[in-house]
Formats: sequence, C-alpha cells, structure tokens
Amino acid sequence: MLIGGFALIAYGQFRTTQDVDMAIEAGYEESVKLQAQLQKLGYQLPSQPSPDAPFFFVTDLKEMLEVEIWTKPDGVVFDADLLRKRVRVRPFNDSFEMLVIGPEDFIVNKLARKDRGVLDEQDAVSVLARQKGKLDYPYLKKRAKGAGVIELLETLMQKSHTDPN
Amino acid sequence: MRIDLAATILAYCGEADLSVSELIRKVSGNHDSTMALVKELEERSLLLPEISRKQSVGRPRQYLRITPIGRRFVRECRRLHDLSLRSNDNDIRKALRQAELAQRLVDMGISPYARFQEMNEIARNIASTAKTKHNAR
Repeated sequence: MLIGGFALIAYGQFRTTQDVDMAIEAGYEESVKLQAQLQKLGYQLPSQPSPDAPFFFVTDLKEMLEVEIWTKPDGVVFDADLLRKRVRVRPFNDSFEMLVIGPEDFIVNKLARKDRGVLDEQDAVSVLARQKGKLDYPYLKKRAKGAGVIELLETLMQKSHTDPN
Repeated sequence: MRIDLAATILAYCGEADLSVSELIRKVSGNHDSTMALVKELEERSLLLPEISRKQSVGRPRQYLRITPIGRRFVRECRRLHDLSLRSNDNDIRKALRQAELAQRLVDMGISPYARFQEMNEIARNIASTAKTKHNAR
C-alpha cells in the first residue's frame, strides 16, 4: 500500500515529491527474496539486505524513479484493522487502482517517524484538517497511544483546532 | 545544569574518546562554562576522566569517557526531545491553508491526484529545462 507523499494526496495537502513510499507486510526472509527478484527484473537496489533496516530503496533506472519499500514503517501495525482502513485510489484516473494506508494510520506513521520533521507534522495537520469529523478518532488515538505519540497528536490537534469536539 | 548542552557533551563523549580541549572545540562553547559543566557531569558520575596508556611516548593522554548512566541520560534526553513539536505556529497555519486548498479542489470535482501529476510534470519540466540551460552555458 502507498504511504508517504502519495498517500497524503488522498487525505490532506498535496506537494511535489520525488520518491514513492510503499509499505508491505513481509518478514526478513520474504523481503530478501523480493529484493533478489527485483534485482533480477533490472531494478537497482543500492544497499544489501539487513534484518535491522526498516525499508529498502529500489530504483527504476528506466523511469529514474526511486521507491522506498518499508517493511517496518514507524508506528504502523500490520493487522486486520490496518487492512480494513486502507482506501482504494485511482491515481491515473483510469481503471488502475492502488491501496493507500488509512488516514488514521497515515497520521500516526508521520508522527512516529524517528526523523520526524516539520514537514511530517504539517502533513499530519493537513490530514487532521481535511478529514476533520470524518476520522475514526478512537482508532486514531488507540494507534497513536500504541506508537507512543498520543501527546504529540493531541498537542497538534489542540494547536491546529482540528479536535472534533 | 544546562540539560541540552549536557546531553550534547555526553553524546560526543559516547561517540569517541575526546580530551577536554577537543570537546570544547566540538561544542564550540564558552571555555569556562563548558569546563564547569564537564566538572558537574563528572561529579554526577555521568562522565569519567580516564588516562590513556596506549601511547608509548609522550605524556599520557587524558580523555573523557561516558558512563552507563551517562548513556541513559542521553537516551532519556532524546526521548524528551522527541516529545516536542518541530513545527511552529506558522508551519501549522501553512498546513491548514494547504488542506483547505486541497479540499476546495475536491469540492470543485478536481482530483487531487490529477492536479498533483500536473504539478509534478511542471516541476520536472522546470528542473529539466534549468538543467539544459545550465549545460548550454
């Protein structure tokens, strides 16, 4: 499923981005197999697989497009709720569909990033604003609590007046 | 004690064996206040002065070594640092404005993905033409 800048377009602001972030549910062995397969298909993988790495880079040399494939996205728990919350989008206005991380998990992922910066917080605020009243707030708070970012989330909601109450 | 500076000093000492003068250069702070803080960190057993016997010639080198509780101090400070927001009021206002613009597009029946692709196309064109001009010089 899409996460990051391309997922943001579905729920919040949109901004130009140079890479595509995707999350997949895969253990280390599956991830290694996938990386080997991608390499066989002609994609460039600049780094060796590592069990500690939360993601790996894949470069499409034909299109010069970089994709970050996350196997351990920050704050994201791969479970039935996460899958249920995903949304289908048609990025090219044709029949091609992609799955996008749900808005609540998107927010938590942004706030739980280890290298969280201003842009991540702005992305979260824009989703909170555009989806105000439409989000599953108990779910959002439960996920934020699990990821250890509940106070950050509540402070951002308070400052941006995006709390539904 | 200045907690942020203390954490910085401890983090530097955790990365490499540094002498006091090397440390002062690294933190590029005031000599007296840095020395006072190093002394305090030593008194609290967060930092230990050690003598290096690695060199066979010259005076033995004294350097500062972080202790296990010093490492814990750095970890806890990082955790506290993570609790603060990175954005200021202006950043939040900007995000709200951008969300409002995106919502207006949706309300007008324009797909944000389509607009995003147009913008990315424009950005790519600007980048490639700028590169061509630059190369043509």
